[in-house]
Amino acid sequence: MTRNEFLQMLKEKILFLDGAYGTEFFKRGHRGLIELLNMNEPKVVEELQKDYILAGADILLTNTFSANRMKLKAHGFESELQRINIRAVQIARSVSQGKLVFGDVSSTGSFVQPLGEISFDEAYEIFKEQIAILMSAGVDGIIIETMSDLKELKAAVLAVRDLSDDIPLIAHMTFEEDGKSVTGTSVEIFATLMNDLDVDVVGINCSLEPKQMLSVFARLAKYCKKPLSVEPNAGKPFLENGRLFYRTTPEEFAIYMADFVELGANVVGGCCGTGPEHIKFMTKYLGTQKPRKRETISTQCLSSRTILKPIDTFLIIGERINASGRKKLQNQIQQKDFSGLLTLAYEQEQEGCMAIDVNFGIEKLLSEEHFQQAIIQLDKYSCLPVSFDVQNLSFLNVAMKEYVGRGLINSAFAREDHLVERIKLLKRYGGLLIVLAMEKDIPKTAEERFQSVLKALKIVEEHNVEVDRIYFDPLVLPVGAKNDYHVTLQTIHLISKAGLKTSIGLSNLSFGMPNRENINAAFLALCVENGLNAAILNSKEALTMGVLRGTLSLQGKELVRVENLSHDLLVDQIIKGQKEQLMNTVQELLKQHDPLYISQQVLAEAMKKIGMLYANGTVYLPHLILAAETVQPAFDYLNNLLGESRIRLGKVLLATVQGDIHDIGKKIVATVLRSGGFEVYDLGKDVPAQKILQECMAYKPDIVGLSAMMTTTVGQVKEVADLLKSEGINVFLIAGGASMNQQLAERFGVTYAKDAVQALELCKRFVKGGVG
Amino acid sequence: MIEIFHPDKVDCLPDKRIFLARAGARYGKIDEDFIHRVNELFLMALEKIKPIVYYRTCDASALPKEVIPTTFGSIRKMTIFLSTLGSTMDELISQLIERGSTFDGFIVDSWASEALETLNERFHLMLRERFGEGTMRFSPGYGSVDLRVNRYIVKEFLKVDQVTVLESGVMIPRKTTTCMVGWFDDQK
Repeated sequence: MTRNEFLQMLKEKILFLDGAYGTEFFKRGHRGLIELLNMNEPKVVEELQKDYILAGADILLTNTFSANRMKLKAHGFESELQRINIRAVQIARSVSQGKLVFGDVSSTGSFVQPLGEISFDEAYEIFKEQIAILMSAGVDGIIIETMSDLKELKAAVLAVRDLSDDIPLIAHMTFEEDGKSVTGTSVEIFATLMNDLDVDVVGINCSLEPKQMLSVFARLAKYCKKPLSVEPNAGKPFLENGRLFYRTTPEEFAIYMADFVELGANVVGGCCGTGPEHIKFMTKYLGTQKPRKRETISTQCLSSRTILKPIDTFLIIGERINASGRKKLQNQIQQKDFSGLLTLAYEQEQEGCMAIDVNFGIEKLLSEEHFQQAIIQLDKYSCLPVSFDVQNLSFLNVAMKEYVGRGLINSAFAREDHLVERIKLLKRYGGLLIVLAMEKDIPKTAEERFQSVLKALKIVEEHNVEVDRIYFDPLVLPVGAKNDYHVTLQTIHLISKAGLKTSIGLSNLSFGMPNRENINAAFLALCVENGLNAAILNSKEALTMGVLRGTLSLQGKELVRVENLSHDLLVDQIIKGQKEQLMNTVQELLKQHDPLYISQQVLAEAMKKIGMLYANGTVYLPHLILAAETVQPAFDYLNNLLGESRIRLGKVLLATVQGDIHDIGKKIVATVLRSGGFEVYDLGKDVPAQKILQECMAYKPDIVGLSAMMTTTVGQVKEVADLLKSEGINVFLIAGGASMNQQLAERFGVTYAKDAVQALELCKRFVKGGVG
Repeated sequence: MIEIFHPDKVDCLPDKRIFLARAGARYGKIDEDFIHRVNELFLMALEKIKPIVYYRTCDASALPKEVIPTTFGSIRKMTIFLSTLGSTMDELISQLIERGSTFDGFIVDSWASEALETLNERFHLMLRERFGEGTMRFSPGYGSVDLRVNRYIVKEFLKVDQVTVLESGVMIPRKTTTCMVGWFDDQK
């Protein structure tokens, strides 16, 4: 099957995916790593896939969801990687009756740095290895599912495309009901990046049942220009007579799937909890249908992992991360100390920038690692979208590879060799591009510059890049060197008249002049009047920013006002990861207060506020992790001052239950609990109930926290709870993870914590005597 | 011989576009809250229905002339069937309207009409599988067949006790229809 054939099928009819594997095997009595069934009990896999074919599925997925090296290694089956994947394809093919077989790929089980421990390249290699096996075994296409980390998804997409330009590819992410992934990426950020990347179908799956997923899907359908797919869960599981059931009936599932089709879905199927009955009801109800026509939003956006900036009104790019001529910043960057860079990024965000230009100036003194680390740090601190002012092509490649979101390449010359290299990066990693109105030398007249623009435009179109992703820079030259600024204005006018977008580097105009701000502001107003769409400028210049707002206002346009997250200095410092500034604040506070007061009344209160910001969706998981990491040294410092009277709220023992190797959520809980004053002992993942019992006897915790991500392992929580109870271990038992819910927790006799913030709250209430 | 078909509920699932159009709404234009509400009513109605089909096929010559639509021409055989969603559907619609949920009652009524039509269409296709080429599906009240022949069809031809036929030919439960299809050949 070629991509064109697949795309043609998508135009002709709605395609049906199959339903769940893990939960369905579980329902049928199979436990453990289900991918092992491919080798040990292939008939079981065969039966389920036959059922899905009978139910009307057009696409069978291979039973390889967790069959990547990292996950198999965690289970001790790394050596079986090849066999498990090949057998999965053989089994699916043997029962497919001519229907399509897609290789199923999902997360490595770890987020990519900075949220997790593995590097982008490691994730990429893990995916590439598994996908290569699936492809050589003869799958028709690849589906990447249940991804929570956009960066990890990007690694998987690139791995597929580096193996084949011609294999159909479906890329999915998982979102919460508010349309954000647990890593803070919104469905719009996902959609707009996937519009750029070389994927065929974009979709969402898991976490939500159909009725919850509908609004998230509607948002995807508005922003995504590609064919869409969707696989909801059948609701949260509940326990009855020792068996797990799912709330969403096949009837409800089917009637909601009709709504997804009406909103524009091209491929529909089921995730956790759905089985052949759900798929049968769906296929019978929907029958053969043509996909609906759908209107999408044409607004262009820049994005980082967590911030989406629509840029149609005017794009303000902060210019101050420019190490040229700034010795201190240069030195810091050379030493891989990015604190100065982060401060500048934060300041420019507060000043109203929508993106920040990153120009290290001294590229000859730097290595790829400098760019890699800088981008990772900016990502960690949830910064604005980045404009890559990077000259060296391999550095630019590294920076864009590491970047999460849709950045801006600043810039390319209008000559073929230079421009095409950058277009290649644009197509590989997504984003927007500024093209200078010059090939080698700066043309003197506006008409000559416009001719360069037209030449560049032809190259852009020949490479099938949407023209609205391109800004043209009409070139601003210093008036102090007797350059006529009218040439720039005329060039803007010509470019705008041609329906193209323009961007300038504003401050160059006043280079070497007194009263630069006045000149910059006046010129910017003239440019905007001539049709300018974006400027790289010094947002510290209040006059320039004010004049820009005023000029746009006269044109009936308005910039979105900048809002502080919290209006609380301490909270801002903690959320932004400003460890140094936070320690300075703590030192100042120590002049007036004792350490206990600062620890419990100031820092703990600030963390409480951050918890509330997280709970109401103002900040996201990366902020939360960063906040916990930032505040920890301050707590440690204060505790040292307190000596023996230090605060220890209680001892917590954490573990991911046996059979489950998902560790990320538990680690976040550990970080947040530590920052909240608890002593945490983390037993790791895949921990048998007996081991938890032994450690409880040795460590004597006040609280035990259990994590279970998979429906197939959630029952282990009950086993642990029962065992501890039967052995007379008196602890407060909390449990969380994707497969837990309130009702299950009650049945298991534990307390449910939906996330790290709630876990902290519950633990605090427990030690105060409020729960448990 | 009178036969009975017990359909699965999935045989009665109406196309949302069509039943919403019956209710005067355009599926593609309705907002999400409306969709959720409609889906709740959809499930409620689906739970209540008790669909059943009674049918009988005989030589056209054995039937009274007024039962055979003139458009059927030279058919050899004819199947007459009665399909109903049962009295529970009438009760649900009445309950909704009596408690002031007129909108809900209206949507469920539209849903049920289309559910019955979906069932009739599915059943007609099943008959075609068995009898081959035939006429269009036809119901009393249209063209040359008077609605009042329902009394003969229900009580004499199909002998269905649980459906009442009024003097006017209207049937109770309300979500009940009679249909006829003519066949040009014997069974396939």
